[in-house]
Amino acid sequence: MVLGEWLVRRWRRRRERWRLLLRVSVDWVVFFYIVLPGLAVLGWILWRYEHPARWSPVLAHIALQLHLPVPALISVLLGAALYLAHSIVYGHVAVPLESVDAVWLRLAGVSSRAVMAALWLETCLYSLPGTLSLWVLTLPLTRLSGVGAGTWLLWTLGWCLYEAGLRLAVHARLARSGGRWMIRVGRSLGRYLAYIPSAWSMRLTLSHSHAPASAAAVWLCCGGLVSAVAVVVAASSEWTNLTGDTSMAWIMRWVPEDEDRPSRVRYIFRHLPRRWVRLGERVLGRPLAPVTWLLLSRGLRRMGLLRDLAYISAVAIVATRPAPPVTGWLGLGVFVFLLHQWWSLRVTPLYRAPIAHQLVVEAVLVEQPAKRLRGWLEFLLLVLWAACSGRL
Amino acid sequence: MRDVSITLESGRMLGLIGPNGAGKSTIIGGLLGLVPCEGTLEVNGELRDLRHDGVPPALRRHMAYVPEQPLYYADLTLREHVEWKQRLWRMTDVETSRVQDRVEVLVKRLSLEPHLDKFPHECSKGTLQKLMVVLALAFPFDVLVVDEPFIGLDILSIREVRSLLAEARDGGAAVLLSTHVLDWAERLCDDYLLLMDGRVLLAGTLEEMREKVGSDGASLEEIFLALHKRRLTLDAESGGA
Repeated sequence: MVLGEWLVRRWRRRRERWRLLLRVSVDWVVFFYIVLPGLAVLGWILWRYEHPARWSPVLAHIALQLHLPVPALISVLLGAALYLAHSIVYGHVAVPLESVDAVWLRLAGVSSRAVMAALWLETCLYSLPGTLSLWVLTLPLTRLSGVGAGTWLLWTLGWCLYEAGLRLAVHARLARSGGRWMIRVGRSLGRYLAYIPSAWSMRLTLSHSHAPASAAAVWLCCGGLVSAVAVVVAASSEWTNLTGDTSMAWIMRWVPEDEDRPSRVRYIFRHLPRRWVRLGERVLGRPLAPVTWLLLSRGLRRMGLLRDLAYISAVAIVATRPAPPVTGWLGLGVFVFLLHQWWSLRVTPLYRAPIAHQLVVEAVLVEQPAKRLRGWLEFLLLVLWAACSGRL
Repeated sequence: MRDVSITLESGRMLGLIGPNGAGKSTIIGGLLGLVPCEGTLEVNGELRDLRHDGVPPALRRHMAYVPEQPLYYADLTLREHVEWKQRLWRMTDVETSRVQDRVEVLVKRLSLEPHLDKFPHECSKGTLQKLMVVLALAFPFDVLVVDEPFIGLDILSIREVRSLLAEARDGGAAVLLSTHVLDWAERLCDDYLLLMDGRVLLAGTLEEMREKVGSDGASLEEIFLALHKRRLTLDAESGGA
């Protein structure tokens, strides 16, 4: 009874959070750039599934190029897709316990195993959309192996159970991401070792074309068994390992107001900006504009800002270097445009709020130097990229 | 908020008193130009339409503000917060050194010295509140707006902030203090504006309010509670009718 009430409460909270996420993220841009292309890809996959004969020569050609037999190529492609999905979800339950849950459930006398089984069930349910997507995406490939859609669905459901059990056990046992090196090694090693049974079972299901359904059913049972063991293992570990960031924290990352949270700051650069400002002012022979000072102080300490610049520069140079002159300059133009957009997304928030909060000077006047700085940065990087890609 | 009129006089402190949700912070937001509002602003006899002109920048420069929730930036140290405001002001050397001296005095009086090179997340809420006080009081101002300044402060800091506010008032500034703590408001303020549900219940000095309520020697808290009770009775009667 208590457990059911708790699960319903969690489910409602989860629903509210997803509503919030959808409210802040879904708009026409998402519809045109994600939903529509996604539907097109789905249509293409289903069409491929219905017409395997048109698809197999392409695959045969690729297999020939790679000097691989077609069944091996199919296994490699499916294995890569599975490994990608496995490494994304490995070691995290879908919705961790909240500290208040731990106290409440303990006081209510709910058994650890029941709570862990509930967490496992939740993880299975929340993984289901992802599992079904994986099933749909891999259908054309399995069709070429002679495995039916129903059998492959059975196999992916077994995979879902296996992964949910694994996620729970690993999260409960090895929750701490930093700290002791044994934990870190255990997590990394587990990631690869835990993938092997899935890959092995997939290979068996694909190769045993005379009885693939039985192989998939065995795998489903294995998933159930692993989950039962995982629940027992998780129940014997401390609950504190299972409390942590809720999905709200993940959602809040997308909300612009959270731009200024401390985790985005590189505190090791405590004194660096002051030195740079002093150097800049000495070179210029005058004090920096307030917003330039602010950008330098905050920008140098902001996580990932210099890395982004380095990435854009590296990609711009590598992509435009081998291109003919006209295409190269056009490419550089596109990268300058990307840099312009990047500034709006990453740099503007660094000075927008402080300018709005200050009541001393007109906001427009303070903002002007930032716009000039943006123009200069774009120009200087364009020159640098052009020089490095051999255009100057 | 409707039909609210506030007069801030040089050398006097006006207490903005009211329960949660009465509209104290909204009034302050409107006064500072942070919340859009309609009305008229009269400064030294010159009238301005707030809806069209907003609070003029020239006037805003003469206003200091201590917010209820500390406004800070995660990647600037406390010292750099002061520097940001200093750079915005674009002062002459004389003014700069005067502000610098004032910062030093305030930092010492509020015991902020050990925290100046820390980042906000390394400081307590009280320390950040003290930073807000330093940022407001270190620079020249004629109007000081203070929204719940005592939240999160220890008793020594509360005494210090109280005396700093009194010094600002005695130095000729017009001070607007919004607070729930009626005891401190009574000790500090010269005039009061009692708010409830977005309306002004009573305004004036303590003596004037005692006369209006009809209870001699009543404290600010007693006056407020009497008005609140009267309001509840009226609401109940109108609800019953």
